[in-house]
Amino acid sequence: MTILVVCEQRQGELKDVSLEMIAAARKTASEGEKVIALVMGSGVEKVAQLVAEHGPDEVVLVDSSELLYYTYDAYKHVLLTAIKEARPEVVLSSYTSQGMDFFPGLAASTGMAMLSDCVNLSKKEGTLGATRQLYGGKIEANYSLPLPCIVTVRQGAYSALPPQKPAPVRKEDVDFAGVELRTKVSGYETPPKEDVDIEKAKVIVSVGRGIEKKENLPVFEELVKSIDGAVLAGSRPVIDNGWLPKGRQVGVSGKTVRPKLYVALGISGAIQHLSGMSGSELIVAVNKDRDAPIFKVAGIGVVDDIFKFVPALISELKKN
Amino acid sequence: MVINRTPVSCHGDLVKIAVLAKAVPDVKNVRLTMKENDIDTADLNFLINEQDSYSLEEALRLKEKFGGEVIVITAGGEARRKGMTQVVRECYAKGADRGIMIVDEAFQKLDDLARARVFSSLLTQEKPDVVICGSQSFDTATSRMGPMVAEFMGIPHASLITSLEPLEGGKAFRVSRDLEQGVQEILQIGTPCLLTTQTGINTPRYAALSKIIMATRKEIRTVSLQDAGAAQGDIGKFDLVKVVSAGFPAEKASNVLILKGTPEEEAAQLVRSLREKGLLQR
Repeated sequence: MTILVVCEQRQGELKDVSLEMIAAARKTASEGEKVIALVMGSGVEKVAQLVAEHGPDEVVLVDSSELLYYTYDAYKHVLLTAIKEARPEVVLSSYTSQGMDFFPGLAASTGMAMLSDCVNLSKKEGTLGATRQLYGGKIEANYSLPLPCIVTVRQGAYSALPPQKPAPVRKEDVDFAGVELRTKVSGYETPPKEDVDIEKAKVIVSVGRGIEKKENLPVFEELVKSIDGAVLAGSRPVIDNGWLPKGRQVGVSGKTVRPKLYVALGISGAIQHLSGMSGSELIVAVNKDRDAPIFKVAGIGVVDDIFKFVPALISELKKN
Repeated sequence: MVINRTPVSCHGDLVKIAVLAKAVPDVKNVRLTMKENDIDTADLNFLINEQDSYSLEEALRLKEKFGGEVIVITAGGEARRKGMTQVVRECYAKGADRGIMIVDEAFQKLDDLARARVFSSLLTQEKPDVVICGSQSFDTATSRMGPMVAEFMGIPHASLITSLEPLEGGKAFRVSRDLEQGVQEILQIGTPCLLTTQTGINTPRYAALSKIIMATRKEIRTVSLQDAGAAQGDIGKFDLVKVVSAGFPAEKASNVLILKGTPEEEAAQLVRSLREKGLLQR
């Protein structure tokens, strides 16, 4: 069996998650089975070298100016070429913004089975087993995919292998003649710098959809003032609604934080949020829903209405 | 002869926009029970998938700008007919022109790849300029549907969009895609195309009560898998991923200490505990 790992880089910088993907492939493949890593981009020789040191049997490098940015059409063309050559039983990559855009279409194009956001990959007789969560983390299901198949794997589910003797890097030329690129990327925009750096805070008070509206923010701001060194942050819906600026967002599309104390108020704990804060030393969660996934990562939980609990907490903090 | 020349209006290009809207069970504050490798939805309410409500809003805004038609498409098993009807009516109340419901028990059990094949067959009959759907559905959250449908239809796609700016009178778009760490990718895409919306792209409108009442009288076209135009063999060929088992995640990972009492008692326990751990300055 061959597993083809599709690595991800942006502007010549390898995504750490790609090294986790090689580890996932290594763990899923039996001894003697091959793990090939595919690196695509423009001027990404160094990326390929880095990948080569983290456990694949071979790195295939496709370097072309056509691949300066990720576009579905150009990437698909390269990957279809690589699949034709390597004939992998499993194509494995990361469940990221690129993974979400790229692989579902590839499944439709090739007729290969495809599942996203997987953990616990396991090979069984002619199939690949995978586990994933549903309903905001309330349910977990085990799946079976016939081979050949495509899976994207959840970030943090596997740990990257330590650097080792580099695998050979094989440079492949891909002809782009006749490939129409139907989307055209003009560049990237990065969010403006914030006055408060939530990544450096010792204590984070984080609010979620449970605060209901912007007008309710003052009580949470008062709580922040009652705790030394605390800053206010929020989950995605809070930022989407414009209640807090983008720089205060915790989670996959925001920032990853590891404070000593993380107080989650009215946050249910979507996986995208959890992956941005589960490394905190102590997590205190307050939510009305006892089954909210946030309680799974919390050290201390309060199953109550934040609008009753937070004022009580403020007055308790003021007592001394 | 004097010809009264009015300026050429950019409102002349009518667009046909199809929105894929999924009816998803509301599982907030509910104790779930299992049935046949999924949750038992018999007693649950169904809502429009939140991400799809952003898609509808974006579609309505395009229609307001260029004129044209917004078609809402939803699908599910017979048991979900009521929930799906509510979803289409909500879309009607907000301004959608036409609704199509694929009601077929067989659909409910299909892998997304086969479902995408069904949607693409139906959409190919409709020939929309733009197809819009949420980047993810709350229930299964696999983020697969949009790009799969686009590939089957042979049209380009852009996923996770956080802004949509029409160019050339709606013949093309400049969109931002939401990458990690707040980075936005800017790209151009021509029609016909499929877009998947990310949360935060807009604030969906509320429907007026009068329109909600009117919506209950508006017809919804109901079709079977066969009517949708998907060949049986085709569906089988793409129905690949199977659920083996499902249930509640093991509790072993959780060692949360749940505080008990009134809010005041809970607060006192929490402050004491945080002080003991040295996490609060006195």
